[in-house]
Amino acid sequence: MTASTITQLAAALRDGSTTPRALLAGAIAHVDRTENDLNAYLAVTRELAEAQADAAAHTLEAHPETASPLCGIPMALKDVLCVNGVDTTAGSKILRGFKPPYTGTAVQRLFDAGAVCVGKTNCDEFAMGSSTENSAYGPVGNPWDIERVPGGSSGGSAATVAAGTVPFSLGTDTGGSIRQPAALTGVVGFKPTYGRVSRYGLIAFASSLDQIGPFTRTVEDCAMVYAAIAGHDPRDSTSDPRAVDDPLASLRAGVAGMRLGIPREYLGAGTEPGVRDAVEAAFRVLEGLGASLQEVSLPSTDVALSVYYIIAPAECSSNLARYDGVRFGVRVERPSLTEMYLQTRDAGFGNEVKRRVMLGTYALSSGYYDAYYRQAQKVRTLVSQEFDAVFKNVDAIVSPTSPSVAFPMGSRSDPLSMYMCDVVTLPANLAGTPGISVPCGFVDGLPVGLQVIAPRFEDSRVLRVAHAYEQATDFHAQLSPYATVAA
Amino acid sequence: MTETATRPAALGRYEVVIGLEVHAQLLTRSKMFCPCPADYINAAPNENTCPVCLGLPGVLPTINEKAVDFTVRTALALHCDIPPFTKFDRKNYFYPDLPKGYQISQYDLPLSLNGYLEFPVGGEAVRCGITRVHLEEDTGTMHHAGDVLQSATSSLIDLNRCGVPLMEIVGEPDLRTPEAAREYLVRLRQILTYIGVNDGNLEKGSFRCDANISLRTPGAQELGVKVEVKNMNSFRAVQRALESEIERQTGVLDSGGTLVQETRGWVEAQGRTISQRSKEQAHDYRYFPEPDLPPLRLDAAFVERVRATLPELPEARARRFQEQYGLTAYDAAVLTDTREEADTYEALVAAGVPAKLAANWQSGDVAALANEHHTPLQHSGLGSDGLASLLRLVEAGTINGPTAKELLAELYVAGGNPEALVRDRGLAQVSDTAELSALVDAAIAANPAAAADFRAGKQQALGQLMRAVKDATGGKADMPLVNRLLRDRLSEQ
Amino acid sequence: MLARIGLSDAEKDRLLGELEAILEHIARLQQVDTSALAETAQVGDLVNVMRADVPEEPIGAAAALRNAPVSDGNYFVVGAIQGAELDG
Ligand SMILES: [Mg+2]
Ligand SMILES: [Zn+2]
Repeated sequence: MTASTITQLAAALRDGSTTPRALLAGAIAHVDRTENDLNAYLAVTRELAEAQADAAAHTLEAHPETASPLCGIPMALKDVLCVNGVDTTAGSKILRGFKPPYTGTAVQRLFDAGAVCVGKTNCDEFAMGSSTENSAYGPVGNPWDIERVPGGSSGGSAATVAAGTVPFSLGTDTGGSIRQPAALTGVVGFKPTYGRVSRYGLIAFASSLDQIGPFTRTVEDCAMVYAAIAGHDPRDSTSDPRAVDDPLASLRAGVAGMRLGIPREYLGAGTEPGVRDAVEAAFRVLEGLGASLQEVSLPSTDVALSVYYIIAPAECSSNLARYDGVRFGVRVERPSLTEMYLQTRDAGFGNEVKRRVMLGTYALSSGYYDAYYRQAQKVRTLVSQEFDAVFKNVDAIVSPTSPSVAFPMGSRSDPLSMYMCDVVTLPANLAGTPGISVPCGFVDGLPVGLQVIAPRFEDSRVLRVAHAYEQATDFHAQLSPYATVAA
Repeated sequence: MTETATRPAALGRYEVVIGLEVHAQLLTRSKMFCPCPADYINAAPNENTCPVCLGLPGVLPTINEKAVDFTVRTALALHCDIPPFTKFDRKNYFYPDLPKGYQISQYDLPLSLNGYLEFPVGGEAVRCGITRVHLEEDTGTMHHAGDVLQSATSSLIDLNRCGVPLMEIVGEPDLRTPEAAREYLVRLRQILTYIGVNDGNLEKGSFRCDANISLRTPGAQELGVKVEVKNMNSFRAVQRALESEIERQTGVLDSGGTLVQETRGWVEAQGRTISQRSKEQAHDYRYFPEPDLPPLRLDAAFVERVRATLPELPEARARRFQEQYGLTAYDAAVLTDTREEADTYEALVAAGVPAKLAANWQSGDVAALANEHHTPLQHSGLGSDGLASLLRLVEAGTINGPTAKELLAELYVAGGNPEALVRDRGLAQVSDTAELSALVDAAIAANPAAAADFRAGKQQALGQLMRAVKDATGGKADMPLVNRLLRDRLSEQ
Repeated sequence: MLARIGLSDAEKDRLLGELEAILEHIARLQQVDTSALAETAQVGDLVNVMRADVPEEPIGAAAALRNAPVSDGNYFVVGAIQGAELDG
C-alpha cells in the first residue's frame, strides 16, 4: 500500500481488500523502516491512531456510502498543529513536553472525517525556515537524496508523503512552507486562500500570512483534503464566511481557453537552468492543452521579499512572546523573574527564531516603526495591487515554485541566501492568494515543481489547472527511493 | 483641550494640572476575546480559563459584541464621537499576568474620541474633556508569597481575570484641584453604573483610576513635569494622593529642585506616594495592528441602535425631576444618585404617591433604613410596591406619620402587606372630629395647669395636652387635627 | 532588551552582524514611493466579526495548570519579582 493515493486506498477500504488497522500498521512499519534516514517524525501517535482506525472501521462498516473518502486513511500532521493531549513542539526545544488541552479546527475536521493520525512531523522551529534544518530535533532528509534538504518549513510533512508513508499530510505555508518543500520532494502541496482554512490550533508564526494546507501525491487527493478542512470557523475571526465551492466539481474542466500568465520576475537570474527548462516544458504542455500563455509583470517581486522579512518577523516577535516559561513549555529556573525570562528564551529558541524575533522587535520599535513596519505594510498593498492588475488579464499565474532544486544540507548557512528560497512563493502569502506546487520534472534525479497561483477564493481554479497539467504528465507518478523500499 | 472652569489650587503659587485615566471592567457575561465566564471573583483560582485566555500556542481571539456595544454606549453618554473605522492593536510587554506577552488594546484608532464630562464643583461648573474611550482586555492577578513584594520569594498567578473586558477612559488634563478630580470620578462612576456597563467598585478594582499630575506657574502654556500616580482604590485615596503629591511637588519646586517624570504609587498607610518607575525605564510597547482581528466599521445605524438603549442620564433626569415633580435641586440630585433610586422614585409617583411626599420619605426614612441594613429598598422585605401602598395610607390619612414610621421599619425587614396590617392591628388613624373633641375636653379637664399655662400664653404647654390625647388613642390620633381642636377649645372663653 | 532573550556577548555579536546584513538588504524597501498607498495589516475585506456574549464552559484549573513548569495546584508560580520589574 506504500505510495498509494487517497483515492486508491478509499476504494480498497470499501472493497474489503484492506482495513484501517492494516493501513495504519503498514504506515507505522514504513516509518520504522525509513525514519533513521529521514527523521520526518517528531512523534508517532500510535495509541491515538489505533483508536481512530477502529472508529473508522466501524464507520466504514456502518455507512460505507456516506463515509468520507478520508475515512480510515493514515495521515500526518506538521508539529505546529495542536492535538488534544498529544505532544506538540513546533520543532522547538521551548515546547518540549507541551500537550495542548485542545484540538485545532482543521485537524478536528480531518478527525471527524475519519482520517487516522500516524504522527506529528518534523519542521523548522516555529515554521521559520526553508530547509527544515532549523528544527531543534535534527534535520529531515529528502527522500530523493537524504544528503539534501526536503525544503521547509514543512519538510517532515513533505518527506513523509514523498516517502510513501502516508498518502497525505498537513503543512503550513507562511512564505512558501508548503509549496517549496512539495517542489523539492516531488509531491503536490497546496496553500489555500488566506481565510479559507481556520488557523485555530495552528501555532502562529506570522498571523496575517499563515495558512494550513495539504501535501498529497495527486491533485485530486489534494482537492479532497482541502474540501475537508476548508470553510468558516467562528473561532478564527479572519476565517472567511463565504461558502466554499466544491473543488472536485470543476477539477476535470481542463485549461482549454484559459489565459495563463508567466511573471517575468519569477524566472529571474536566480533560477537554476534545469528548473527553468523543466518549467518552460511545463508551459508548453499547458499550451498543448489549449491554454494561452503570456508574459506578465509583477514589478514588486524583488521588494516583496523585504516586505515579507519585515512583516513576518514583526508578527512573530509578538506571537512568540508567550513562550516565557510561565504556563507551559520548558523553564530555565532563575531567582529573578527577568533572568528567568532571559535564560528560558535564550535556551529555548534556536538561532533563526532569535534572529527573526530580534529583527521583528527592531522593526516595531519606536523610531523604526514608520520606516520599516509601516512602509512594509504599504508596499504589501502594492504587491496585492499588482496581482489584481495581472489577474485582470489572466486567469492564473504559472511559474517555478522554487528557483532551485533540493540543495545539500548545510550549504546555505547565510540567512539571506536561505531567504531567497521563497522569492517566488511569498508574494502569494502577502496577497493572500491560493497557490499550489505540482511535480513538473527532474534535474539530476531531483524533483522540480510548477507553481500555479489564482486570485483569492479561486482555489478551485488553482486545483483545476494543476490537475489538467498533472493528468497530461507522469512526473507525479515517479516514486522516491524511499517509497519503493520493500516491506 | 476643552474650555475649563478653574479654581485656584490649594497652594496658589502653582497651577495644578490633573488628568485622570480610568479603567472600568464591563459587565458582560463572557470575557472580551474568549467565551469564558467573566466572573473572576467567585471562581477558584484559574478555574475560569480556556486555551485562549491562557494564551496557549495556536489560539485566536474573537470579539465580544456586547463589550463593543457597552463601550459605544459609554462613549455616547460622554458625548464622544464614534469614528466609522476602528481596530484593535497589540501592546507588547512582558509580565507574568499577561499570558500572550501582549495586551489586545486600541492605539491610534480607538472606538471613540473627543467627549466631555460636565459637573459642579463647589457651585461652579467644571467641564473636563474626554480624550478617548477605548476597549481592551484585563490582565490576570498576582499574589506575592511573603510579606511585601520586595521580600517575596515567589509570585502566584491567577488568570481568571485575564481577558475580562476593560474600557479605558482617558480624560484631558483639565482638572485643577484634587476635589475636582474626585468629583469627576464620582460623576463618571455614576454614569457608568447608570448605563449598566460597570459596577463601579473601586475597592474590588472593577473601577480603577490613575492620575497624571503636574504643576506650572499660573498662566504658563506648557505643562510641567508629569507624574503618574497609581494604586488609589477609593475616592478618598484619590483626593488624598493628589493633595500629598501637590505638596511634594510644591516642596521640590520651592526648594529650587527639579521634578522627574515618573510613576509613583500611593501608599495608604503612609499617606504618601513613593516612586515606582522613572521615565528611563518607560516602555516601548511596539503597538501594531492585531492581525488576528478584522477591524470594525461601526456605521451610523449601529451607533443609533446603541443610542436607543441609553437611559436618561442622571443630570438630565435630575433636571426633569425638578420640573416635573417640583423637587428642589438638592432632592432631585439625591433621588437621581443611582438609577435604581430614581426608578424607585418614579415608581412611587406612578403608584399614586404625591411627588413631595414620596421624595421626603424616600430620601429620609427609607434612605436611613437602607443604610442601616445595608439593603436597598428593592431588596428589602417592603419593596417599592410595599412602600407605595404604605405612603398611600399616609396620604389618605388612614395612618398618621409616627405609625407609618414604625410600620416602615418593621416591614423593611420582615416584609408584609401594609394595608392588611393596618386593618388587622387596627392602626387606622382616629380622625373623627366628635370622638377627638371628647378626648380633647377630657385632656383639658385632666390637665388644668397646662390648660391655664397655654391660655396665659405659654405655647409649649400645648405639648402635654397633645400627648394626653395621643395616648388616649393609642398613638393613632390624627395629630394635626388634635392640634387644631385643642387650640379652638382653649381659645374659647 | 525588548525581545527578552538573554544572549551571550559572542552570540550577540554574531546575531547583530547577521541582522545588519539583512537590514541592509531590505533597505531597498525605502526606495518605494508609498505616498499614495494605504497600509495592509491583513488581507481581505472582513469587518465587524463579532461573537455573541454567551459564556461557555471553561477548561478549569486542573487542565490550565497541567502544562505549567511550576504550579502549586492552584496557581502558576514564578520567582520573586524585583522592584524594577514592577508593572512590566
Ligand atoms: Mg490600558
Ligand atoms: Zn478563556
